[in-house]
Order: sequence, then C-alpha cells, then structure tokens
Amino acid sequence: MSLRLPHSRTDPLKSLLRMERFPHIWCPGCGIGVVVKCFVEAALQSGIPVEKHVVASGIGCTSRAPGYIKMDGFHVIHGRAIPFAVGLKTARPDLEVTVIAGDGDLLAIGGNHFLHATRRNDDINVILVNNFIYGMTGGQYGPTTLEMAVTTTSPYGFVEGAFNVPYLASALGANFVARWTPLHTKELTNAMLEMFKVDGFAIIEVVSPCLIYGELNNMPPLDMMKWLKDNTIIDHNADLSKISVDFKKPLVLGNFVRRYRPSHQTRLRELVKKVMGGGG
Amino acid sequence: MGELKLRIIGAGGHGILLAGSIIGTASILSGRDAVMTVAYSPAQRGGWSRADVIVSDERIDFPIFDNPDVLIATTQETYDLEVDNVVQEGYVIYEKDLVTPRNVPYIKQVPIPAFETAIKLGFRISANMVILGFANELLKILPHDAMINGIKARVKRKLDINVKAYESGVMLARGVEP
Amino acid sequence: MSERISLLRAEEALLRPGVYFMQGNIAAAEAALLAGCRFFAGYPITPSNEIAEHMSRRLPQVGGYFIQFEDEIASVIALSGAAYAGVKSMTATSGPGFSLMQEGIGMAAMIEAPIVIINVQRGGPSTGLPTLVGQGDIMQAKWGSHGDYEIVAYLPSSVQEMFDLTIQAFNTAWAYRVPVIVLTDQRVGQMIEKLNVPDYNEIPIVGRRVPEEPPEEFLPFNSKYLIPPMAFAGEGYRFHVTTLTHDERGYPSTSHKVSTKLVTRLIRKIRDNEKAIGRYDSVSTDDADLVIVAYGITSRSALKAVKEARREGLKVGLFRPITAWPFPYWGLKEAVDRGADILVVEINMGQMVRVVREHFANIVNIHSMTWAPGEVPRPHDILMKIKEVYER
Repeated sequence: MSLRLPHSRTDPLKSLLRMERFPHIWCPGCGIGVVVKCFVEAALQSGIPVEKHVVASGIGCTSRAPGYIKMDGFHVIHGRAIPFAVGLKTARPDLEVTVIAGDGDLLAIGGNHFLHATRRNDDINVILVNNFIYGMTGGQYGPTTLEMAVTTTSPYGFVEGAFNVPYLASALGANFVARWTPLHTKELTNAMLEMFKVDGFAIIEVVSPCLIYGELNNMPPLDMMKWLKDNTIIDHNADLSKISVDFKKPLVLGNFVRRYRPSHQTRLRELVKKVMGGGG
Repeated sequence: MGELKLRIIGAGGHGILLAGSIIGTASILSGRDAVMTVAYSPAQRGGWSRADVIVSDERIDFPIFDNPDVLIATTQETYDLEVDNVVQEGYVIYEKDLVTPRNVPYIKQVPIPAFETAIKLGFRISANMVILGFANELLKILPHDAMINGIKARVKRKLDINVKAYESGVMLARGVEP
Repeated sequence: MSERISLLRAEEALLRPGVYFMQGNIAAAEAALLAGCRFFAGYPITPSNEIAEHMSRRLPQVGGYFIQFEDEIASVIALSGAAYAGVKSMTATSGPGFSLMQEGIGMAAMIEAPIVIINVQRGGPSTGLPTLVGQGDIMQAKWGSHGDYEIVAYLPSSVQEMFDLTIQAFNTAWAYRVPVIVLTDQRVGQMIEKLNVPDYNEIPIVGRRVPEEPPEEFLPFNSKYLIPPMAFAGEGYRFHVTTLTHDERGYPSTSHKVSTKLVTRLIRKIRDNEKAIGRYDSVSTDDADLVIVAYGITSRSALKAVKEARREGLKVGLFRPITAWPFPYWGLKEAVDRGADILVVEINMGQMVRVVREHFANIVNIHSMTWAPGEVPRPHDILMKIKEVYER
C-alpha cells in the first residue's frame, strides 16, 4: 500500500507533494502514504488556497507526513503538534491547520494536549493514524495497542487496555469525529473535506496496517488489508461506546459526530471584539 | 526628609496595600523615589498583610529593610509581631480600639482612633485613609498636596469620602477633633 | 538587519508615557504589549501570576489573545506556533514551570522561533519555596535543554529594568531568531517601584527580517545568512520546518556536514554577536581592589554594601551583569588586568561564579558568597564578606 506516485507531470496532486523527497521512508504495506494522498486530494478539492493550508506533526512514522506535503509544514517535537497548531491557529485564524500524527504521539505523550484541545474546541483538524504501535522506534506498545498483542515491550502480551478513539473524542466534545481505513479512500477523502468545514475540533481516526505490528503478531499488512476489507461495517450512527478496535469483531467505521459548538478561536475573536468595542 | 522606612501591617481588608501604594505614588509624583514590597501571613484567609514602603529624596539602593523607622499596626496580632523590630527613636502608630500597647523603651507610641473616626464618616473601610493622614501630618513625611495626588491616582471609588477621611486623620494629628 | 517598526499605534490602549508606581511583573506585561506582543500562553505559578493575570485583561483590549494552557509544556510550544504565524508571543513562569519548558526552549532554538519567556525565579530545587526569592536558574537558563544551542537571558534588577529589558527581550528575540529569557526573581518581579515610560518614539521595536527571494527560491534556513530571514505561515512560501537536524531547505538530514553547519550557525549567531547583545553596568570599579559581581535583587543589596565599604575606605566596586547569557566577561577585563579580586554574590550555591572562573581563574582571586534561597543577603551580610575577603 505504498503511495503510488502520479505518472503525469501535470497531475495536480504532484504540485502538493515535495517530489524531491521521494522515495518516502514508510515500509511496504504501510497505510500512511494513502492518508497523505487522500489529504492532498481533499486539500485540492477544498477550495481553500494551498498557501492557507498548514500541516503540523510530532514525532513518529505518521508525523513524517508533512515532510512530503508541499504546504507550510511543521514537524515539531514528540507529542506537541497540537499545542503548536493551537498557537499558530490562534495567531492566524485564516489558516486551515491540520495535525497529522500517530496514536502514540497524540494519545500518550501528547494525551493531555489532545484532551484539552478537544475540551476547548480548538479550531484544528487532527488526522490520527492508529497503527497500534510505536513503529519508528522499533515496535513498543502504545495507548491503542490491542489486547494481548505482542510488542517489543510487551513480549508476553499487552494487558493495559486501549483507547477507543472516537468514543474518547466524542465524550470530550469534539465537533467532528470519524473513523476510516486506508482502504476507504473515497470516504476518507470526503471525511477530510467535511473536517475542513468544521469550526472547532475535528478528528479522523485512520485505522491502518503496520508492518512492524504485523510481524510481531502474525498479521502481515496484506492479511490486515484483507481483514479490513472483509470485516468493516459503516454505521454513522453507531453506539461509540461499543466500537473499540478488536480483530475478533467487525470494525465499525463512519462519520459519527457532527456538532456546531463555536470554536475556541471564534469565541476568543468575539471576546476581543466585545472588549475592544466596549472600551474594556 | 532623607530616607524613611515605613511598615504598615494589619488584617486583610484593612486597606494596608492601598495605604502603602498611596504613599509610594505620592512620593514619586512629587519627584522623589519610592519602593514598596508586600508580604502576607502564611494563612490564605483571615491573615495579615504587610506593606514595607521606603520614601526617599534620592534613588533607593536596596528596597528591603528589617527595621522600620515607623510602624503602623492595626491589630493586636500584627502589633505584637512587629513592635520589637522598630528602630530606636522610631515611631509606632497603632489602632486605639484594637491594640493594647506594650511598654517598649526608646520608641514613641501613638494611638489613633482610626476605625471610630471612619465609622463616624459613615465609611468604615476608609480607616486606612485616616491613618495615612494622621501619620503624614505627625511625621511630615510628604507634602499634603503630594498625598492628595497620591490618593487621587490610586483610589478608584468614593474618592471624596476617602479624601475626607484622610483630612480627618490630619486634623486628629493636629489635636483637632475632626 | 531586521525590520524596525515604529510604535505609532495611538489608537491602541497601550501604557502612556509618564511616571508610574508599578509592580515589576505588571511593568513587564505592559512592556510586552508595547513591544508588540499579541499572544500570551501560560500556566498559573507563583510568583509570576501577576503577568498572566494582567495579560489576560490587557491583551483583548489591544486585539491580542490569551490562552491559559493545560501545562507549561503546551504554553511554550504554542509560542513557537504563534511566532511562525507572525505574532509576537510570550509566556511567564517560575522554577518548576521553567523546568517543564526546557524542551520547548530547545525546540525554539532549533527552529529559530523568536519567543520570550519571563522566569520569575523562586527558591528551589523542586517545588521549593513558591513565594520566596531564589536565583538558582542561572545555569538552567543556558543549559536546560539537551544538545548545543544558544539563548539570551536578561537580569533585571529594578521595575524600570523589568520594563526596559522585556522590550529588549522581544527585540533581541526577533533580531536573532532566538528564545530570550527575562531571568528575574520574586523580589524584583513583585516589588513596586518607580517606572518611567518614555515617549513611544524613544522605544525601538524590532520585527523579523523579511525574505528577499521569491517563494520558489526561498530556503527557510539559508546558510548564506547567519540569521536567516523568516517567512511566516500562510504567505505562500510553503516552507518546511523540522526539529530534527535539518538542511537549508528545512528537510531532515543525518549528514554530519549538515549537522556541523546547522549547530555551528545556531551557536555563532549569538557568540559572534556577544558584544552587541551582552550588557553590564559598573559602579566604582575604576580603582577597585575588589569587584563584587551581583545581579537582580542581590545587586541592589551589593550596591549598598559597596557604598558602605567605600565610606569605610575600602576600594570596592560593583559589576552588575545585565545579561547572564551571553555573560559580559569583557566588562571585567580592565579590573582583572589591574589584578583586582572578584567576589560573586548570588542567591544560589555558586552558579555565576563558575562562569567568572571560566574566564578569569588562575589570573585573579575569585571568591564566592553563596546564599540559600528564601531571603536576600542584606547589605550588612555582604559587607562582612567584603571585609573577610579584603583582609585576607
């Protein structure tokens, strides 16, 4: 599932990629390249001028995505993409700011920022690629590792329990919550387009195959692709409390939550307008 | 005048910090130097506040002092805490109705009925202004006009009655019943 | 050099020129607004809270934004985000928060984001003495994050300097694209003193250096400059920034050549300009046999001690570094050449004295007066030490 580069020189997608940086660093069978392709496709279709799009990321496999996208991009330190994006968005509300990062970055070291950015309803988009593991550092367990999964730091099986990302994000008050896979490119691209329209915190979880996870757990990426193809259900109205990732039951996908709570930045702007207009 | 070290201490709510900042502001607005440092009792509520103010004709080198030339204390607890720190030949001005003074040799101690006077004016919380007027008139710290300017710069509400309270303190110091 | 912006914003509710009796922390907040700060991110901590509280009230009045984040980590990171969006940004904290901010300070140094951090030092280590004075963050300010980088740190000793040096901190941050720390202390931050706000046209304000190349040719870390011009997000440059070791294009690289070039430039942009950035003040050092080195609130006590020593006929002077980093060692050279002894007085167990020794050990006698946090050494304490050293 590596990113297939467009052949035509006039392919508009190419204008949004840093072609000089290819080939990319992702393993064969990894889903991140597809996420990049869908993002670039959605950005082109969004009608938002490309110079107004900004991407930010932390550290990890997914966080390398901005390095291949020809937009203003910030590949910052581990776990801190969200606060960086919030500072940037607050300072320049006209920019469309998207964080692309992994499960470990956003939910473990960056977990507190995720929690509070969602609560504040910061006007940023978050694409969280969930591959159940720390791939770049060699396969340690993370906050979304599956029950009894083997990783380099859980050689006897993982016993901590995993986040159910859509359920968590919805409970925290996110304005838009979706879950897709790299096999659902059309739906994923459409969800990204929807995300750009949201004034407030929007998150898409992309459940994605990982070579390293597969090797440790007898599930090569192709098998996982096949499993994702055969075992997913699209249910936009699903009970989010029941959709944790578990290979023993079908994976529920969909655009689950759409709320219209005004974003933190919109409310800040209103506050400033009021204070300035009213003489403080 | 040279340099004067003034310590104002009392219960939270007695307007200690405002009194200190008025003297400091009056001092700098009249071309002198001033510095104020603030301290609180460890208790968050029901504790004391302390304003240490230095006013000087010259630039103040070091803003901190341990032994005040003048101590103003509005409660028994704060009086007891500080009275022994006053320099020899220094002054203590204490609230007459709340403090029973101790005999301390080599310092002068002067009572003031600040709360009684403020209550008569119908504005109990202006007792700090009564004390300020009294202290400034007694010790000739700063010119009267400078102090009035300091009050005007610092007091946000009920300016008239605060100025009146200040002037009542001045009259008390002159031995005149306000 | 960098773009200079005039301060003609009469319509905004900035602090007017004039004389004030103001707290140091508030003076720093007002100075930040005058310097153009329009974004503050922070987390509550004693004894710096007056800055955040004041900014939360004042920023919306001048069209700026205040966010109290979930911690100091997020706060300092958000500053770099705002800076790359073209908005001057600041935070304020104290010891424990400053420790948490170290990764974000290292990040800002690496991606050359101009940010300002006010550290109102309290007693440490750890939670230490939340309400009481300390000067124990001198070394952390310079060496607190991993790897090799340079920062600038100012040492205000009065309310006037809280104001002046906060404006200077913004100007330095934006001129050199570097994190700048206003390294004050609880006593200076919380004392109330005379502040003179000059006419706006006497306050120089520095902005970024604007890229000259068109977007196609723009290199965000172009090494033909010691301090590369800065593009902001959303201007069409479509540049890439990474906190990994990066080449001139901003792309990650593991090449030793690239690493050498980058780290050398990050260091050189400050070290080559140390005499333009570094500042000090000295009193009665011309003929001194003994020079006291003291900064922040301690320098105020030392000044009084020096005056008293002079009255007693001792030839003592005061050298007051206004920048901790870069340390203005050249200001001590004349006294050292004369063979004067040096006595460093500070509210820590001997931090700046190490820097003085680095420059002058084995040339003159260097003495250290250490002092545990919580109180300021009184002029009398310093005078006793002066006599002890003098009579040796």
